[in-house]
Amino acid sequence: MRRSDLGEFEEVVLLAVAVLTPEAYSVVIAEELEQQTGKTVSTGAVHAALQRLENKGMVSSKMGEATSERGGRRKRIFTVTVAGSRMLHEVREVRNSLWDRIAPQSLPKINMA
Amino acid sequence: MSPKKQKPQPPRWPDKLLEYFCAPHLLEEVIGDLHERYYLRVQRVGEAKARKQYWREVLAYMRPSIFQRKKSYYSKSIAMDMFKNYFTIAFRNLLSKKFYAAINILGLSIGLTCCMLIYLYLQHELSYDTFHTKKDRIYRVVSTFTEGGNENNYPTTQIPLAPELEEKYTEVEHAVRFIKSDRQLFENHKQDIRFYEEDFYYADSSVFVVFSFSLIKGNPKTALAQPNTMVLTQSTARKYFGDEDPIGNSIQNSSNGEIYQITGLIEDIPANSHLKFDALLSFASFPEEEFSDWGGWYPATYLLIRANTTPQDVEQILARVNKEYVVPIFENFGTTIDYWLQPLTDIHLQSNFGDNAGESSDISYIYIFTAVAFFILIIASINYMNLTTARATHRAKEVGVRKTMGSLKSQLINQFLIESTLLTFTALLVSWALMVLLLPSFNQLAGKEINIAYLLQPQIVVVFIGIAVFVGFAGGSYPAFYLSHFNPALVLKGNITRGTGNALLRKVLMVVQFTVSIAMLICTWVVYDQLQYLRDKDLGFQKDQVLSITMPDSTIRAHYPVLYNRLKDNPNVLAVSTSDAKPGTDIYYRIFNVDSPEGRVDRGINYYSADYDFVETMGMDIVAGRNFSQDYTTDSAAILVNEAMVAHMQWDDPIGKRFTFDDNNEETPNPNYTVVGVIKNYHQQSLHSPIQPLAIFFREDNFFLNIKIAPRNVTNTLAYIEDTWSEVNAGKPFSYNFLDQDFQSQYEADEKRGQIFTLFSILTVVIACLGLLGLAAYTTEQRAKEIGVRKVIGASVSSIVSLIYKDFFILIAIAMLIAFPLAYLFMNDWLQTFAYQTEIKWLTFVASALLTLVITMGAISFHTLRAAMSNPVDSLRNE
Repeated sequence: MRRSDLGEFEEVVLLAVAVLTPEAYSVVIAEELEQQTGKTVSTGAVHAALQRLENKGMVSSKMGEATSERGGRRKRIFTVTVAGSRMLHEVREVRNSLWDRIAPQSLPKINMA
Repeated sequence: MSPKKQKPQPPRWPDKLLEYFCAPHLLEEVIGDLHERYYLRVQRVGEAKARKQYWREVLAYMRPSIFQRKKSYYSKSIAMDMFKNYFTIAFRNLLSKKFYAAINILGLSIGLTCCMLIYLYLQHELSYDTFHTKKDRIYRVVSTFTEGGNENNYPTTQIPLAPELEEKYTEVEHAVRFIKSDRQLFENHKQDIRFYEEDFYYADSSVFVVFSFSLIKGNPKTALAQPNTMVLTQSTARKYFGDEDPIGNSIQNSSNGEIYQITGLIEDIPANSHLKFDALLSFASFPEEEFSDWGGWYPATYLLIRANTTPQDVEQILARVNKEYVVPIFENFGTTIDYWLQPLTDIHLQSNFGDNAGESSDISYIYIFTAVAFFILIIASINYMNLTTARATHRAKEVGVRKTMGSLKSQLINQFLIESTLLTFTALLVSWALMVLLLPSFNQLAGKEINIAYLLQPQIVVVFIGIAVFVGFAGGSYPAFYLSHFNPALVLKGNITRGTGNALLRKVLMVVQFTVSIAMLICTWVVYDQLQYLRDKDLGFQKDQVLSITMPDSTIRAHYPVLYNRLKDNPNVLAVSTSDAKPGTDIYYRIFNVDSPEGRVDRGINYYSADYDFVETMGMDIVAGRNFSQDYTTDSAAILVNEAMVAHMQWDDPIGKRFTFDDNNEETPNPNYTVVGVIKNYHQQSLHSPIQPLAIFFREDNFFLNIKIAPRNVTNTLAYIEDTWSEVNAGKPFSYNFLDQDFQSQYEADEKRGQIFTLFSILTVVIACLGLLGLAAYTTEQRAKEIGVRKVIGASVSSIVSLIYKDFFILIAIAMLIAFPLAYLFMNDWLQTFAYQTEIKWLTFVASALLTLVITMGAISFHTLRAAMSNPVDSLRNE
């Protein structure tokens, strides 16, 4: 899993697209990630990540509805493609297999509230 | 949520920034996203914080990938087809609107031709002496004389300077001297061919090592090493020997009997060499004895300095030599002399030393002509731009249709640029033809010999094409951009008749053209005034009907008394005399010991010698004392001085004052020469220089023969004189000049300048007219509806005409305000170069303005009258 295949931020954004389907676009993804991580996530970064994902073929996009808050401008809705789905599963498998093989004492104990 | 009355708007500036940077196909979603998030934040943290965060968000969008425009999906093969279409349309446009196309092409051609001819001239002038391979190490020694606060530069040195430098100082590799031989008769004995030669020079043998005059035959190192050897140019060789090999043959100088062996043959000197000669005689043949002291200035000296030496080093050496030999001679006379080095390539353009009139080219003319070329090109381009933009209305519908069919702005711009380039290339072809036609007149005007082959050189062709492309692009760019921005909806509705382009820009351009035209007219007028003044000014002597003949050798001069009597037999010969200088030639300068209010002092004096009848022949006036006269035997040591000399020496009574040559030696003290009369001041030199103090010594047996003849029966008199000459001086060719022509030739350069100015004036006026013509046509078309309405209301033809005229006249008035002071300043400067000037008359300004007015009216009348007399029905039909 080279970083060029899927960057860390891109992975998270891709997951968010999957979560927020069928109305996944830059703003809601950014808001969701901000809530989840508690850190500021700029729309621009998300937009850039989505562009890269589209270039890699992990998502596809089409124009959606316009609303008055957007000044009558349409939004671009993203959906995960087959390739994107395969990539997510692969990544997940790798992570899970690693997690499973960790002996209980290897990781220092933390308090997960 | 209660809907607010007015929703808080996100800050505008970041949006504008994004609009500029962001790729168009992304813009909608990006700004939409930003706005949506902004409103969310307003609800969360309030407006102020939301705005701050908005800014930050926008900046976060500034990344390279946001600039990237979507690739156009037009393939190249379509582009090629479009080119074909563009060319066809361009062609059709030119043909259908022949009038405007013709004006455009004509204006551009004139501009291009001018520009290119000037370029040729400049290139030639700047290329002088560049063919010498060692040119970076060759310098000419110039002497500066400083006497009593006056500084004069002379491009000559003393004879011994060159050998002194070459032998004693290693920094000087070679020193070459050139001395012009006086007008002598040279003869090829075997075939009895003889000519008077003026352009033979004595030169040191190292001349072929230093300069790159290519020897066709002969050894460069030894050709001129021996005395009585000579190297000819091809044309000179052909003159004397035909097709025969001149090497080994000899030519005799009939004036002094010396025979010269021909030891070499060189190609004719190229036109761009400041050194021009027909043959070189070896310096060893020069009769040096009389002249080899450090007190006389004769040769031009050129130095080839060693590779690692700087000219400053050599100038220091010159200062040393100066101190050693020259200062001792001159320090008692209050004169200091300095040497300095002039680089070879500077000589042609920067030798504006006092009396070195020769081929007076000046670096300032290079600047002036470059400026003029630029000017004309700019004006031609401006006209072109003007006219094309003005005609834009007619292309508007086409643009609208093309845009509707899906043309991109870039394609339209391409189309119009191609059209303009096509037009410019047509103009280029026309101007090429013009150049070939005008080449002979140009050569005559500029004093050059450029031939057509020169024009076809690759670097020149490239420059011309480059200029054409530049003009095509520069001139065509504004119309191209302007046309391609038409809004198809408005245009197809027919709404584009008003507001075509920047009216202010067009007016400014017109004013610029007018200013240049008026200024040029004024300058030309003043130049001609000055030339006329120079021609008419009283020179203090009579230059009309005076023949000037040279008597170069002693046999001819010995026959003079016989000639004199025979000539005087003819009643139409009014006076005959001899002198060793005449008005218009250079005269001699020497230090003399002179009587003055402070006793005997040493002064540098300008002088020459003449005989009894000189004053009468030249029509000069004696204002005090008397002329040389045969009644007084003491007159063999008599002098005439001019009024300026009297003032210079501060004499109360000039008669009886004595002059002595300065180099007295003990055993035979030099005789005293005594002043017997004072001549009214006359102009020895051209009116560029003020009148200098002058002394005329009495002497017979002089070089110049001057004959004053009566105005009637000139041809008969000339024939008589020629016959008499041939009788008395058998076998000597007879040739003469008229004194007034000689004198006038000093103004040749100014006359040429006058011609050039006239030419440029005409050109600027023509180009301005062409611009006017187009503009007038356009304006009247624009205002057709307005005129129609006025006519319906009841305006007369004349009121409409004056309406249109008024607009143009205002522009002319503004141009006048600018042009008058500019022209005045410039002309004032130029007139200062003359010691004697006319004044600049206000009539000149008025006349120039009137002329411009008249020409303008002429140019615009046709269209104006036609518009004023049109039927209002035609123009208002579509309302």
